[in-house]
Amino acid sequence: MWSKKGRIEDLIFWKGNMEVEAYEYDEGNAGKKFIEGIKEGKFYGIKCSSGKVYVPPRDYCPEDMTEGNYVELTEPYLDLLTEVREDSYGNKLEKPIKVGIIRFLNAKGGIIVRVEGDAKEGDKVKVIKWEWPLVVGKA
Amino acid sequence: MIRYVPKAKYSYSAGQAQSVFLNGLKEKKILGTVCNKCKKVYVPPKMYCEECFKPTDGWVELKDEGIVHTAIASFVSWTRDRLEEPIISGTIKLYGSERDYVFPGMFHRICTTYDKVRDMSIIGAKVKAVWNEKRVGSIEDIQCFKEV
Repeated sequence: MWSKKGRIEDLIFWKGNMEVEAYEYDEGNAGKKFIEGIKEGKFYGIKCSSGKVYVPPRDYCPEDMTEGNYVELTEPYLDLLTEVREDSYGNKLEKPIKVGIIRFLNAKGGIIVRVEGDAKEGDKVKVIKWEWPLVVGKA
Repeated sequence: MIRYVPKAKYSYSAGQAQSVFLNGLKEKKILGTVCNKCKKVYVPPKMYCEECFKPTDGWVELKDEGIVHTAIASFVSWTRDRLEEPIISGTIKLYGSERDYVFPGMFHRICTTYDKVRDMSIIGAKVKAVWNEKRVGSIEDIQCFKEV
């Protein structure tokens, strides 16, 4: 029999902050194009010579390492939906946050977004806020 | 270019067994866990008997006295400064066990003299915990183990 209580309030914790350096991350050409697209209210992907479309766009097509062409993608749908009830430190949120992945028909990849309203998995969605994090709702 | 400073917060838990142990020190209690199968007592406590591969069966309170099993005098401090007076620490066997090297015990400071460590007469001496007046649930709630 376990004699452990399993209750977080009975445990001793040591909390602190680790010293970490700032970092710089380059989003690359395709990443830049994608971010610019979001500012314009558009989703960009790349279309490769094989006919496959990738979103977010990549610098090179994985099949043949050639540069693809940017294409605009429309009509996203909600593929996955989940609910977040705690923040990253385990504190309960006042109101759960809905998070999902949107995808496009005939395109590989997806984008993680916040979901508002009663959109369900499989529903067509529209972007409510073109800023990070993207917020979508039922179309 | 994205510039970011990660907020690397940490929250390190003492865990199920050692949280009970540290809270016990607040009340001048040295608590250990016991395995009913092999009768082994764990101090510091464990939730799992490593010999029987099963959960330990409960808590026992041990006396705050024992005998010195090992002792060492260090002339180097925690922050690597040279010390004039050595810090003496060692393992305290909290109560008798038939097995010499398997016993409930603590690694802590020993209040004794350098000479007694040098001539090894401290080994086997009976010691008792010296408790702080103000205790917070930390291993530092015990000042040291002092000869009786």
